[in-house]
Amino acid sequence: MFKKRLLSLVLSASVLCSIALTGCGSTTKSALSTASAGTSTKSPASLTMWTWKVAYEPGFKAAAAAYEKKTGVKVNIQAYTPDATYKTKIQAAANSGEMPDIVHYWGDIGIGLENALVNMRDKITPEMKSSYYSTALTPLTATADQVSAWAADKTKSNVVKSIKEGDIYGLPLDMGAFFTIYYNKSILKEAGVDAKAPANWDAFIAMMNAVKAKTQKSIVISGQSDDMYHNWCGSALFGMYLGEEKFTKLLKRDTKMSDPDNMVPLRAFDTLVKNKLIMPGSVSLTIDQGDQAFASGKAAFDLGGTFTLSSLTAMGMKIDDVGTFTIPAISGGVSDHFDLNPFTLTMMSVSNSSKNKDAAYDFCKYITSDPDGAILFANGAYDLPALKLTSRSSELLPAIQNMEKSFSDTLNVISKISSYNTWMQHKEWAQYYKDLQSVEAGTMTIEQVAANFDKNAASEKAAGNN
Amino acid sequence: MKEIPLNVMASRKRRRKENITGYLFCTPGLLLLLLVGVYSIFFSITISFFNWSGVDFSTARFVGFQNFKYFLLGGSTVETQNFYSAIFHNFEIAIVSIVIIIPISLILAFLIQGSGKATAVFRTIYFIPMVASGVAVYYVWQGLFSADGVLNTLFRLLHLNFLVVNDGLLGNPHTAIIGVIITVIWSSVPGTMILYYAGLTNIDKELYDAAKIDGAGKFKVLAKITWPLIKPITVIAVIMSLNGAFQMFDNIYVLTGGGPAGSTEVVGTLIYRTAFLTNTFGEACAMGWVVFLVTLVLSIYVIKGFETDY
Repeated sequence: MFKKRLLSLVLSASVLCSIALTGCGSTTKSALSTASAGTSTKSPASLTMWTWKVAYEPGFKAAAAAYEKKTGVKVNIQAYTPDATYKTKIQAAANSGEMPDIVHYWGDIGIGLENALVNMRDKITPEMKSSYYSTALTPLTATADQVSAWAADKTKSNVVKSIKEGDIYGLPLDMGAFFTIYYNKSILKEAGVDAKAPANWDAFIAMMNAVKAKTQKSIVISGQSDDMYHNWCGSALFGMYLGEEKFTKLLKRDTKMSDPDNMVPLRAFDTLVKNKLIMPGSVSLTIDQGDQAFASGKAAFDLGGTFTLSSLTAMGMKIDDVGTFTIPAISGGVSDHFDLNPFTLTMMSVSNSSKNKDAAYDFCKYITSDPDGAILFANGAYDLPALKLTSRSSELLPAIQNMEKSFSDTLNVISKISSYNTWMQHKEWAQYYKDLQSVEAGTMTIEQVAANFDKNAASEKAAGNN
Repeated sequence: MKEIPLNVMASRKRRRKENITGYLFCTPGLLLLLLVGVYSIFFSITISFFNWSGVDFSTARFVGFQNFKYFLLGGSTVETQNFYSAIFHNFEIAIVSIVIIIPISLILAFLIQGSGKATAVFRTIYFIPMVASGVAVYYVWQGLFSADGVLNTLFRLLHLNFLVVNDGLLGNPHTAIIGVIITVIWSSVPGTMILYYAGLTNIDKELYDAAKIDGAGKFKVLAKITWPLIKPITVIAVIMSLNGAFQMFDNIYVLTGGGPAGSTEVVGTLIYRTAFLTNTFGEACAMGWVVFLVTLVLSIYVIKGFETDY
């Protein structure tokens, strides 16, 4: 009896001790890693980096291998996908102080994670700034307008409100643009349709109708992210048709969606629906699943961005089979074409909790600002670097060089509207994206969509949600 | 003063020691509950009154009931509309699930009561959804329901074209919720069936024998003996289905992401997007607590509803 009691007491004590020791263990471990970090800040043996872009992995790995040869520092790259999962992981890691040394993230400021990342405003030299494309640092740098808008926005967090003008939390890695239609050259050939850019939206519709009549194949517009059609196509149609002034008025809630001019770009979407040109089931596909449908020949066209090329090649599509053109304009609008302005797609950031901040920044600098690193990354990822390569541009793969040539220095309407991204966060747009899917399903008309948009815009404005 | 006999004192001492041992065994669990459970509950309640981006609580800003007002009382028309629409979908799934899951589970529980080899095989088959990896299986369901998936192909082969959904079951706002409910039924039946199976095997056989002697028919036995005795299990099953429907997330996240056109958005996916994709953790926690209250009230109502009879 006594032995049993003794045994149970010993067991209880050991359970308690093991819990206590687990706690001590982690403390000891972190204390050790802090100590070793202290001694190895100058030359750590390895760095960790997280990304969500699986298609970019070959590029990252190529640059990391060259960097290791050069410095002896190994960069361990870990990819987590899909996008939403990655965001969740970063958020949780930032909270628990378990962030990797280097964070690959969407190129933007005001993301709410700034307190977990190193502010690079004093690290970026004027030489570095001039080495990037002129617009590369724009979306990453806080402007005075943004700072004052965030200060006035009651829904913004203190993290965003604490950002100061000129703050910058990442180096620009790659440039690209949405507004790109991909087509499968073999399918167009089978349909007897010329593989060339259509002159306008009507010609595009006629082109898709001809392809569909012969092959039963249409365009895939992934809809699981319901904002995709508008952000990657619709906004360009609005911009080209309305021009800067009228589009700004719509965004500022000074005009109604139901105004005749504003209805025209909405009608362009309706022509896709009425002609049954959107691939059945597109609406429930993720962006990757949409690209897979195109890469496997289920669709003749794919709505994407310049970055889509890397996904398509990673999915095994032959690059010679892929053709592209920019979203064509609606006839009778302010502009007859859309200037494709590249913007920073993603950035390389250093975690505030990293024990090797200097080394991490050095790798970020190597892959974004050193032509050797940037070229290795770009060719491995089928992606255009944010670094101007000038005389070394010829070292990029031909497909990437073509991508570079498709960009224009002339600002398009969206680039001209400086508060575009802020206004697009107005809640009426979130409902608008959903309503477009209802049009696609035949449960709403575009007139109802416009009426709902106007009603929501008025009530959000009245509630002071700016 | 009355003297306590020595043997009683020894017995009390032994009992005290045994109590201490018991408490020591409970301590790790209690500590874990306090650290993980209670702390996170209070933290979550606190956050719902703050505007917080999710990283470093020192950056949070107290906003009172603003988060609640935003999605409950029209602080943002669109957010309010989205919240009520999501909670409506939760109710829709809960009601349909309960109405379908409970009878199916009960029937299956009756069927697997035998002791034959075939019964054992069926018992295993019915149990598979409970042990299968949810996310992986939902991707399979997504493939089955897609525009060119097995379901549409089968309907076309059988010339049941009126059942074909061109955009796939999950690609049409009218039918997407049906697809979601099918997966809910598939994943919930085994758990409920096991509950009923346990309940049925616990019923004393002598009660059936006595009823037989008294000349009771099969229906009378079911209505007067079986059903009253498994009613408490039904209460548990209803509450579990309600909770399951209001905590639903993974199947919708994988199958539809809440779309198309928000037709399958439930509070779980809405809270997830609010917290992790728009970084408004305060509003997300506030939504979570409102849903908790709704579930609590419904559960109490269900318990009260069944209470009168047992």
